[in-house]
Order: sequence, then C-alpha cells, then structure tokens
Amino acid sequence: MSAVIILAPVVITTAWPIISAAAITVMASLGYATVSTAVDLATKVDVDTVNKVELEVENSQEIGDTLGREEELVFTKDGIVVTFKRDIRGRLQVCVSGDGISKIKLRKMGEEMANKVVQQYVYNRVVSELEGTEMSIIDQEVDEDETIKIKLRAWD
Amino acid sequence: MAAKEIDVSISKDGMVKVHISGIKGPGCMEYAKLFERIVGTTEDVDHTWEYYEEASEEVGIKLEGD
Repeated sequence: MSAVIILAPVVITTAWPIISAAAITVMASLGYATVSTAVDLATKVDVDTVNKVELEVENSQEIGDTLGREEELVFTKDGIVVTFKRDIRGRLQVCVSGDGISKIKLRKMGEEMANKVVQQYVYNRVVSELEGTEMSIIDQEVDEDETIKIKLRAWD
Repeated sequence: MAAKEIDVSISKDGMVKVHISGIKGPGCMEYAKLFERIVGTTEDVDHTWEYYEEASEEVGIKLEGD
C-alpha cells in the first residue's frame, strides 16, 4: 500500500441540492415524511411544541455567493419536527422539536440525524465526483457499525 | 497494466479514511489531493513502504541518465 489518509468532512452549504438529496434519503430511511409547505406542517403537527433544540453542524460553510439566501427542509414523524436549514451566515443547522420529549433526547436525535446526513452527503459527493474519472466502483457495503465502505479500482 | 486500488470508508459521523494501494512513489498524493477536494480537510496522512520505495527508484533513473 502507498498511503492512508484521514479526512474530516466539510459540508458546502452552497451545494444545497446535494444536502437536500442527502437529507431526504436519510430522513425517509428513518420513516420521516417531507413537509412541503407551512400548511402541511400545521395540519400534521402541533407547531407550538414545548421542547425545541437547535444544533449547528460542525465544518459546514458557504463557499461562493448565495446572496445570503436561507434554505430550509422540514420533516415530520409522530409529532416530531426536524428542520434542516442554511442560515444567513451559510452554516447548516438542525432544529428538532417534539411535544413531551426532553431536550436531552431531542439533542441526541438531532446529533444522530445530522451525522447521518453528513455521512450521506459525503457518500453522494464521492460517488458523483468520481463519475467519469479513471476510477470505477467495484464493490460497496455498509458495515454493522454503519460505516459505508467503497472499493475503487483504476488502471494505468 | 497495474491496478490501483482505493478503499474509502465513511464512518457514521462522516469522517473518511482513504486507503490507497498499488501506487508507488509520491504519485498517490494526486489521489490524496482529489479526495481532499471532494471531502474536506486532511487530518492525517500515513505513508507506507511503497511510497518510499518508488521514490528511491526514481532517483536511480535520473542518475543513470546523467
């Protein structure tokens, strides 16, 4: 072997469509439904939920110009509302709210969901960026510890 | 033809380990740069014997040409 490299992900919030795709994939796998409008939200959940936590995703940043535009995606399941949004500073935030659920539990849920979205975002980036290069995916699997493993091969 | 193999592991918190094999010499760093551009920031790089092996061979070729 030649080298082993450890990389920390940076979520580029300017690439909102890639983040959206990752969030929709992850939240659907967890059984959450996408809420498309404020009307949908009002009919499905109590918007005056008591407990609410907001988390900022580490290593998320804006690169390029989005004119300070905010973006938002909302999901819901069993009265829990999860919002992924790019704030005006370009950071990715996760907001979780749910009536009758402690803030500690909401925070834990938010951290787990944010991590899964970052993992899916990185996977989507790797697969899409390697398309059309000399490298081909020859195998991929998900381990018991939820690590995604991709084997690539390239020929001289 | 020599096959280059790259194993990419994405942990559940998004940290990435890239294991590049079959590439002798510093050429593997081109792949390292590619993954840095795709993923984010490099936290650690561990070169192995193959990296240094080819580097010494390249020096030998240069001397022969002189």
